[in-house]
Amino acid sequence: MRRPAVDTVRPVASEPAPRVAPASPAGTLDAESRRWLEALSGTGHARDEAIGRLHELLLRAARFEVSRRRLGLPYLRGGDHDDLAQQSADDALVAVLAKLADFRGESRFTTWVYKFALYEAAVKLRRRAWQDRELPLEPDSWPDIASRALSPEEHAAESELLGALRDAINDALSAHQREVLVAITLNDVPIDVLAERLNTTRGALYKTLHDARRKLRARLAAGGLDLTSNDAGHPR
Amino acid sequence: MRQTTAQSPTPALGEWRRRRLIAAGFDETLAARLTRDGIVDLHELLVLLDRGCPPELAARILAPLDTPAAPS
Repeated sequence: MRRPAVDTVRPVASEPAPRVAPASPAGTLDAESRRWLEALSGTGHARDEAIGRLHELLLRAARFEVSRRRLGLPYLRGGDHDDLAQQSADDALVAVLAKLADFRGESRFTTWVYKFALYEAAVKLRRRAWQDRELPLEPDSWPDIASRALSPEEHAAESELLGALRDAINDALSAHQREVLVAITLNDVPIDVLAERLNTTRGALYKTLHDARRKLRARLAAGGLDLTSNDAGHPR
Repeated sequence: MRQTTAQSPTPALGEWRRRRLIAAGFDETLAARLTRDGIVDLHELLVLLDRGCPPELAARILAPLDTPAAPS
């Protein structure tokens, strides 16, 4: 479904500009960034015109990002690319205007706003990739975590650790904690995709992940398994 | 408690949510009611169930304040 980009932008432009107090002293901003800030913080036609230019900039960035990832997006049809870019630019514009006061001048303003478009495009592409797909909430198989040649002793130690971890996931976690942990950490479901499916927030899922990891760590420690890494970055 | 924006889910998403709730222990009628309008935070529902809260009570706890309670 194609969204009219301009129409979604205009209501933002017609609203009063938020008070902007850049965190960076005005004297440290480059001239172009200062002009952007002044125009976007102003009123009337000048602000509307700046918002229009900003949207064009964001759209170019979003199109670039969608195009850059095009080869890995076989599920997208022709018109989908521009549709996603438009949506990304629209949402990035709203985000930029809401966070204008956070701009510190540590980079050029255009560089700063580019990141909003790239982020929105990345999120939307991830969501599209999982659209209408079943979310795997149970581990299909346990990954082969060993990524280097192991000695027999090391292999035995890692097998013991993985077995204990599997048992802890099954026994120490609640049903929903287990599903969230497995989906995100073992099956690579993006957290924003899972949040959208469950009609919840990323923060709520992060909290559940944090609690689940704490439980697992405690369970493994109680079983005598030390999860601190040695110099080689492998669990001891 | 976070209130989500009312937004009817797509049929496929609604069905996925309904199946999730039934698998977690909600009866079919309650699961269908909770997923119909796309208002309730399923994650919070399932967290409450994890803590031993009965499904019907979890649904009442998370029901939006500004909508009349549906008959159970």
